[in-house]
Amino acid sequence: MTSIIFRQFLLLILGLFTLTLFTFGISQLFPDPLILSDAHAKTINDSLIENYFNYIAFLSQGEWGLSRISGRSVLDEFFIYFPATLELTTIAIIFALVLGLPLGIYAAENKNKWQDKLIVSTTLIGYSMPIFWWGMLLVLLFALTLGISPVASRIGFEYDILPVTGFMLIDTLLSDQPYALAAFQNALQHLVLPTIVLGTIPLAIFTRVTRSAMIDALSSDYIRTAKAKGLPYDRIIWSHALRNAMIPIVTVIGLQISVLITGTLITEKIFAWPGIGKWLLEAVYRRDLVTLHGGLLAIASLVIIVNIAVEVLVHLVNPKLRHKK
Amino acid sequence: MKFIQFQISQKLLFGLAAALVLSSCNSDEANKVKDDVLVYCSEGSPETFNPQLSTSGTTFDASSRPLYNRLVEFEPGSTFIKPALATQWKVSRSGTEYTFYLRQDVPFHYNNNYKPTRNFNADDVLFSFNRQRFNQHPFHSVTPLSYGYFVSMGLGELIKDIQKIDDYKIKFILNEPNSTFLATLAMDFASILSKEYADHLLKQNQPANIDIQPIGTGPFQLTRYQPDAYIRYKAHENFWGGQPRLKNLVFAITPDPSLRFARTFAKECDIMANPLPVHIEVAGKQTDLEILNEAGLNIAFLSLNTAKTPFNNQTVRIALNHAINKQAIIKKVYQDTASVAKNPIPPSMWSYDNDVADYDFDPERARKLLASAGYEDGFEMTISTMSAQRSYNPNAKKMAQLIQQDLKDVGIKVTIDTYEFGTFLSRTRAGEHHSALMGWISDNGDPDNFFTPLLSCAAANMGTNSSFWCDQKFSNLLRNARIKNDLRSRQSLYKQAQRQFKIASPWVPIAHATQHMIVNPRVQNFKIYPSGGVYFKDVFLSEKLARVKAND
Repeated sequence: MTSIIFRQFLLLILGLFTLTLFTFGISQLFPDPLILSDAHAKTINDSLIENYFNYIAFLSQGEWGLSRISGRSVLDEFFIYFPATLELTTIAIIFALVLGLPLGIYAAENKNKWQDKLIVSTTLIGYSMPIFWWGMLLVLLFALTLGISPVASRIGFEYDILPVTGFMLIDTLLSDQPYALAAFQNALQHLVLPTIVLGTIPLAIFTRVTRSAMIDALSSDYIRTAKAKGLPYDRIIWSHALRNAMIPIVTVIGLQISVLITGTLITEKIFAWPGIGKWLLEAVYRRDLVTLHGGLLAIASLVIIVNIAVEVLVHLVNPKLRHKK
Repeated sequence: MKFIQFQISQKLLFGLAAALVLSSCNSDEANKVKDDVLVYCSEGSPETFNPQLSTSGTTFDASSRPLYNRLVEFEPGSTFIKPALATQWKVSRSGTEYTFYLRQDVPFHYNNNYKPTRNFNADDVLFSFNRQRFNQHPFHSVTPLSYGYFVSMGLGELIKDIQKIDDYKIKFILNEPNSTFLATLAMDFASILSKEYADHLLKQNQPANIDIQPIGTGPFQLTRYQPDAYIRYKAHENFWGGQPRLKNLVFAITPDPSLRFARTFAKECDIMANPLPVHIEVAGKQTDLEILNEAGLNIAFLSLNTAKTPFNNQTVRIALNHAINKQAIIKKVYQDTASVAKNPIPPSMWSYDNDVADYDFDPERARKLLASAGYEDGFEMTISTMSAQRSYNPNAKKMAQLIQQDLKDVGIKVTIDTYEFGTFLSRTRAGEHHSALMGWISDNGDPDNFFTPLLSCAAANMGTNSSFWCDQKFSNLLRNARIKNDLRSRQSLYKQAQRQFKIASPWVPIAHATQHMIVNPRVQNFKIYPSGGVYFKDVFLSEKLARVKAND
């Protein structure tokens, strides 16, 4: 077990190393040298290799440079915008899981019946839908025509919420305003459409993966044995079949992180969601290369870290791998 | 058993649906909160909260208008000057000495970090002007932005001295008489900041905060700002001009016009800045939205950087004037809500010269002129535009594309570069552009406010003169017009200036736009003014209407 964690840790280091090599290479194309701090500026010289190691040294000390527009530290800015993105992404994953698992199980149970075909074809549509179009359609229908959902942003402008944690759902509850509860409700309402838009593709994928993993599991010998032993149906599904089906599902969840991050860029643009997606798009408009560099580095590291964490998790869940020497 | 499984997912679905329905009901609490807040959907983030450091209307809307006061101010919507922080003033017979008597009961804002111990006095006036006048002033360079107006209007040379006579009396001594001086002091950049706050920040070693966490005397104080998201203000309850009727004011920063309209349509915003023509059409069919119109004192123009080839050549500039089809732009970009521009000032401005003949749209002529200037094969040029939409230009990118087509016909190859508003301004100020789609909105209704900041030599050094065209004779003419006190001779000088401008043609003037705003009817007492700008001091919300709307 420890050897697996150690191996994954090495993989993480290697991944981050390759990433910095890439970002460093890109920064060589900037019109001005990328300067992370005053001390860093002094170390820049003609030797590329020396520059690269200094670059890594300053990055690892948390010196990610100052935004050319706001003058604030890029790393600080990242942590200002990141909670909004994390909140949305987490809720979207929960949404996709909570709906996707039961739907996949239900489809597997009814394999090749009309319910199954309906679910499979709907998920195909969900999977292939361009999300900016889907987002605009939902806004048009629920916000503008029916008026039952807000149009955009994290909370109604009438609520003045002090950003403490950066997570709107928590901050509204921490707020000492008399309208804290109404604000919480309002923040929930604002989450509904972005969650659906961002969660649609993962939902479709989770449903399909759960379905095929469950079909595999349900047709295996141990399920037949369990049925023969007369175990209750519930227990067969939830503790025998699903547990074994979880392995491909967890792997797919890990792979979804990069899909979600791409989706976030678009979803945040549609809903004026003040997260890293919107932050990076603004940086592109402002030609703020330092911010772009930092954002790229932060998001890519995040994807690498999450993927490796999932890999470790898969090893923990899968007894075959867990006990492998 | 299978049935049970189905029920589980069904329950989940019902649960989610219930949560949706539950969360979409409007509670009384939510209504009450809405009654206290006016939401203004603005078009962009301010560059700073210090109006001294900006020339942009977006920044003034967010800073000088809600947060600060001037010694004297314009009656909103007119060029009539009324007392503000100064209750009265005297001008010496020579026209070079202005003595101001200051109001004595003016409290400043406060925030978590600072509580004022004294009211406004002459020290604050001295501080506010000296910061702009002297390079070595401790606050002169705390923010890396320039004093656009102060420098381009030549105030550094005009003001000889400012003397504090006592706490409530201050004297400005000028090097020469100036007929626009009082109007100049009423402009946004002449806002008065707190000296006590500045000292306090200096002690804390955070002088730059003076422009980030502003303390002023105005009707509203800043409570929270998140760039590209919102600005929150609350009423300044001790405001010297009487407590404002709004309790809270929020600027919802929404650069995307479709989203801005969607927010207004859904009543999340009470007022929408700069709607597109298509929004006005849709809102017109909606009985519960009001549309306000006003012919604007503004101009949109293509500024040609005369410091770069080939725009240093006058014939080329005139050729461009012939090559661009302005009528088509008015139709396609403004949907006929604007008029064609030929002079640098709008037709409703006094001294406008209607006798100036415009260059006709004549591509053949343009080609001939280009050939005579040695460019028979054309040349390549870049047009810089901004992604943000302005009241004088609803869609700069589209305008640039139309111009691109027109110029292609005369053999000029155009590349379009689009920038975010702040980047666009700093690039054009630094002269990095080849040509740029610019615009200007009057601050004070005086023609000088167009000519001097946009076309004088002083402004070329400063960068507000984006064509960098500097003709000393023309600048002298503007200076003469400024010194003169009688309207008739000023008028004839400005007419002369318009003719000279037309001959030199540093720009292609394009359009004068009509300003629009879409307003929720619960908003009372809100007006738009020819000179642009939004003022919320006397605006209020009618609660009953708000309640009816929310329960719809």
